[in-house]
Amino acid sequence: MENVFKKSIESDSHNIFKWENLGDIKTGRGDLGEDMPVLVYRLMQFTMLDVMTKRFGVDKTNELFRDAGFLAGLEFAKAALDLTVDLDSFVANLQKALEDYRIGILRMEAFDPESGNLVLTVAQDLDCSGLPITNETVCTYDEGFIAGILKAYTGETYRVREIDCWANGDRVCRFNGVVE
Amino acid sequence: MREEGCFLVDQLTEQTAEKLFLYLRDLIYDPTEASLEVNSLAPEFQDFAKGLIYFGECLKEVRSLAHDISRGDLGTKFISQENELASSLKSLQATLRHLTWQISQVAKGDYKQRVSFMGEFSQAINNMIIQLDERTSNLEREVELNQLKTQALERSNSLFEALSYSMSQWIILMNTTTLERIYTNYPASIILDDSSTSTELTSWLEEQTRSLQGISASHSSQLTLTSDQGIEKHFLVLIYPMNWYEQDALAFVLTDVTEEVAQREQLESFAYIDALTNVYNRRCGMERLNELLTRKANFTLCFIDLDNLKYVNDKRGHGEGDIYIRIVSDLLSNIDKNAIVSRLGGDEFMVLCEGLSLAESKERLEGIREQLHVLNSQSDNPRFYSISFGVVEVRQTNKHSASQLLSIVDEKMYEYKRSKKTERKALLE
Repeated sequence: MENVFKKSIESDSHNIFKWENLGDIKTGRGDLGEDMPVLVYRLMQFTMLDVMTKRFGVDKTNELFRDAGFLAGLEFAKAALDLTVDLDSFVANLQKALEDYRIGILRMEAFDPESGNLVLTVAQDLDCSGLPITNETVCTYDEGFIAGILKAYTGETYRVREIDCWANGDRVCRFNGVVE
Repeated sequence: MREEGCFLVDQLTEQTAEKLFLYLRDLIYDPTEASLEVNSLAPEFQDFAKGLIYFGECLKEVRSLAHDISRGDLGTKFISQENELASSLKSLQATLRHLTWQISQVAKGDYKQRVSFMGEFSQAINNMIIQLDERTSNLEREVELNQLKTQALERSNSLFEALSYSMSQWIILMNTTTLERIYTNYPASIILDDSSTSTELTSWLEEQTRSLQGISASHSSQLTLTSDQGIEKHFLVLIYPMNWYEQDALAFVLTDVTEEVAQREQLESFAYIDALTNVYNRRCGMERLNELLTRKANFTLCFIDLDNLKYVNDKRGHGEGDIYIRIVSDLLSNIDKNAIVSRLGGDEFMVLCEGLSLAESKERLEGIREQLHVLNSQSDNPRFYSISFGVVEVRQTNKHSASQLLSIVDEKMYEYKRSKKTERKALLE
């Protein structure tokens, strides 16, 4: 017999992202709370990276991770940031939000008001700080995340790439954002 | 052969060591000249040499970046991602670039910026930002306060200007040191532009300013200005000492009281002048008599009674009687230029003559009596105008009061009247 409810349930599927579907974490994790160790986050991220790389290859996996980051950045900006304020206030709010959510420490290095291009660094990054430097780009999710945030605020499509990284105790990633 | 081979290997090793040494030396002291041909080295050192060359390239990048940073060029030159040697310099470059961006944000007024990654330097920068924020807030508050004060002052000033423009009073500020006018309101400026009044007013203001220099309380005065046409204007002047724009000054507020003065004079005339004859009334006459007695003046006191006034009133009516009274009054007023003439009652007059002797007074009164008789004779209708009078001379040694003197002179008048009884009867026949 056909499950007549399935169709309506599919539209609310967790495979289609909605901010609301992140759920009521506070209530749902009444005893354990809303926070968890970064280790667990990375465990999920890097195992997923492993499985996907084996199935789709490095480039495709990076592309998928970047797209996922973009969606996260877009939805995060819409849900957590005021998109109507001027750029300086937006950057200040973004820095605070990234720290409040323990995502990383954002530092603006340069912004060209004419072109909209920018250079920024993220220190103590949730995804990569503490990883050994392996001379490979690991912050594809962050690239997409930053591009998503910028898209939500400016309406412009940014091509964000990690152009440098270094470690002085913690890994610092430098990103270049160019309006496409 | 083997020894020769060993010699060649030793020689190559020696040469390799020297080349490596020289390369390393050049890397440190003359990097532009540093070069190393890997293939010319002993095979077992070639990987080491490749590593050394990579180290040299990394070092070159580090040097270049350090050089740029030392010159303040934070630019856009980024070191290759794989250069681990440059980590600290990259970090410093990123920090300084971020700091530059933060300072530019602060310059735009974003005082929420905080530096959190450069130890004591961060603390100093953050303190500076906090102080800038506080000073800016204080300045903004001060500006806001000053704007409110300015608005209040502008409102007050505009009110003052409107009042000073439309008010009838003249306001003139005089510098007490230079005696110059330092402010005049609009009505005053019009008057001061009028040369006929300006000179008189300016002189008066200068004189007052000079004499009132140093006063600490307000002062009042009166001023009368006469125009070229001879019209007098009276002013009540209030004078206030003040300090204006660091100048000691006197503010003169002149109120035109000409109408009030005229009204007061009119009221006084109502109180002191006899309405029918325009000479002083009894009250004023008695006051003048007492004044003369108080200052022990020499004068003659004349008491005049109109003969036959009742008869005229009864026979010709009160209108004719009033004419009779005014004729006598006019004649008495011309008795002497210094004479004080007053009407004491219906048919009684008093004349005080300072400077006339008893005889002169009597003689002039006789003259008036004669003039009345002449008038009687010149009229077509019979007239009965005549006077009786008594005169006493009052000297400074006088001990009598005013009422005593009036009784004496009244008696003398009756004596005179009795003496002229026949004459009077003849007049009525």
